Amino acid sequence: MPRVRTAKALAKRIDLQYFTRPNLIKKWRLYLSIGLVVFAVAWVAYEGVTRNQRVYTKGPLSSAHAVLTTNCDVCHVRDASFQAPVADKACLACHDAPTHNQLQRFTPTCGSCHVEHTGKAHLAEVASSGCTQCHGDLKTTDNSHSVNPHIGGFDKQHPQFAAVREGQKDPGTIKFSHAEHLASTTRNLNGQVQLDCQDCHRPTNTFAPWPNSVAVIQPASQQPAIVGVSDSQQRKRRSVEAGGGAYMMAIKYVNQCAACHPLQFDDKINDPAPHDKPEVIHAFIMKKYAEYIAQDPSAVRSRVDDINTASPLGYKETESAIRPTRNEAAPLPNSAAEWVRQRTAAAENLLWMKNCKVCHLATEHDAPGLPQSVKGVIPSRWFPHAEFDHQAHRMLACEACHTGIRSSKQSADVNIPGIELCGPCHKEAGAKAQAAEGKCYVCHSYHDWRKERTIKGIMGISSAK
Amino acid sequence: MWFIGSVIVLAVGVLLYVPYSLRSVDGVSGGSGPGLAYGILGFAMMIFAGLLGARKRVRIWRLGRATWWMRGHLWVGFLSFPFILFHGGFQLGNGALSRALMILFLIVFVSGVLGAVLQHFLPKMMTERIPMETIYDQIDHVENQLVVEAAQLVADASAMVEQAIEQQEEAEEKAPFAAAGKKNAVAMPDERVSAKIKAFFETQIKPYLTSRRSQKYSLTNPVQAAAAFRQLKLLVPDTVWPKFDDLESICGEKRELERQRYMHKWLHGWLLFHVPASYALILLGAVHAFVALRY
Repeated sequence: MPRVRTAKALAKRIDLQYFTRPNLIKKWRLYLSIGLVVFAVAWVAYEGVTRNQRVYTKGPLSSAHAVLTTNCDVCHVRDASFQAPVADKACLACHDAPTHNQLQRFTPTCGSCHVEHTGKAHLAEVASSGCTQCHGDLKTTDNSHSVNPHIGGFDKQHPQFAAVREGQKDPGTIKFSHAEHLASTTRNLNGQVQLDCQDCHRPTNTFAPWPNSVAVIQPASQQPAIVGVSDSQQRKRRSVEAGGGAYMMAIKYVNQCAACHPLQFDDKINDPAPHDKPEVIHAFIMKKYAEYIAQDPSAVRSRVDDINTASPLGYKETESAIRPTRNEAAPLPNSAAEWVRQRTAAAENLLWMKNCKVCHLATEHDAPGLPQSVKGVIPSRWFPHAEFDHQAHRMLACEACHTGIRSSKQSADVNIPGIELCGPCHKEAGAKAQAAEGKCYVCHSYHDWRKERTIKGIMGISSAK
Repeated sequence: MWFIGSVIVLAVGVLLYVPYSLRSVDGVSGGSGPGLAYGILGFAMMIFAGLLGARKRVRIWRLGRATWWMRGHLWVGFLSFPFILFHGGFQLGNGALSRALMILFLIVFVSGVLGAVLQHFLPKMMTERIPMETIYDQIDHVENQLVVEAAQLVADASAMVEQAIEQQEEAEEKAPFAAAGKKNAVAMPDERVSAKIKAFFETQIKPYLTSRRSQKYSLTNPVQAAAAFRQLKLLVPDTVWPKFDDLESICGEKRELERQRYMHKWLHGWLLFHVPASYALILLGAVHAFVALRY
């Protein structure tokens, strides 16, 4: 008779007490559950006992704060409450944070803009939302606005740069034509030359000699200190002070102009007139003529109207504007002093009426006395509320941004690029949009660092580490 | 209900996450407002999913039907995964605790999904492939019974063979020539057959029935088992064959029990990962929430 497999027969095989004995899977489930929980508790307890708070960090600290990674309490100052967020006073213990604007209605906390634990190299690289939370709909304590009150970011409603807005002019007081200087017909000491932007405009951390400086027409012993700095320490210091080449060096006559526009006033005098105030120039000329006549008393009998600027260094006149004019016939001087006076008057007439007026706005010298020249001003920074780094843009040709420079004939022309030229490269999303950074901090600084106070450190080595 | 509710909640979570992610220029963070909200929601979902275990411990309480809790566990537990990913910005985390949590959560989620899939398909498969299915905890007990039953069958078979030998010997004594002719016509057992049957039981059947790793035994293979029993049958009179059929049936039942044991491990083995990791996850998640809210 074959095996019978009825339900009753099968049921009879069952041990009715089976449920009182744990099965293998349940047993191991229990063991593993207890084991893992115990391990987790032990881990947390161990980290607590060893005061290793790194396990709880939500992300790496910025490089400047990385030394504080295991010392949360330095920034997370605990008070009576449960929470221990980063209080501003913790930041201000080491950093000063000058006020943004006296009229601001709201001052964000340090941590709301400088978000830590993201591994950023520089905490100053803040999100634009920190700025636009106010500047998106700006309200001030006196309801006045010195800037556009609705700026959503660089990509959104950012106004045109003030310098290039409609009707703006270059505030400079030097007469200058970029078109003429960049033309192929321009000449220098040696004849025709093609000037380049870098011949006059260079970042502040450049130390190569200027090709058109006064050094070119003066012996090395008389070169001004600004040219040819060789000491590495001094160079380094100057480089740091200059902000690493962010801005262009200021235009100075001795560096950029002297070689082509020498202030030679008489071929009898080797030295050119100094590029200085009229009274200084007057004293210089008088002194030089006095020295000359003392060495050559016979020159008293020479006429003063033969004065010309043929350079003893072989400089050939390059511009009609600085060619000497024939002075009106004057009586022969009867003394050395009279010769000096007449000669000085003739030389000054040449300088004031020709040389100086090539570049400077000056009052007419039609009355006795020295002219009142307008102080030469050339703006070195065009964005007073923003920063620009030429060094960071060195891969660009100058004319890529200063597009109209070759056709600019007047000083009043503003040759600064508008915001529309920044847009193609700089975007708010930065690297995410495969673009250059376009957040507010790139150009603007929230804190007014002119008001920065010196911080007196309070931490010891052991508390910092 | 659970499905529709989960889809709606997930859709809302995704719709809110997209602009949040796009507007976060510095990347999403668990510490930001939305990030914190996702974290709290995700952790709350984990807690709810974990309540299934507690609910099972108080079966007699009127706390809703077991199926409601199971579906809630599945759907809400599943939903907690994207919410925690939104919380962490799809990152593993930087701190050791965050990483441990994400790893534990991955273990819980993957094992949970695997478990749900297995629990969906395996029971039906077991019903089809294991007609002799018994209570898993009773498999050892039943196997012992099978050994006893098999031993009895072997003893019976041996007795029947010996009886057949005796009958044959008696017949030979009474009619030597007739018995000799019969012996030549049909294979009749001798004394060695009984020993062979017992030896087969001791060396093949019993070890196989008592073994927990039976793959090395030829009886594991139904074809080989059938062949072995066929060969044994050739040695004995056909009156003994039903005993061998029963022995073969016992081996077949053993195979089914082995299959049940194997499938049961798959059906419940994932819980060895899912449950312990869940406890650790909730514990460390609470520590993480405490630290995060404090700092």
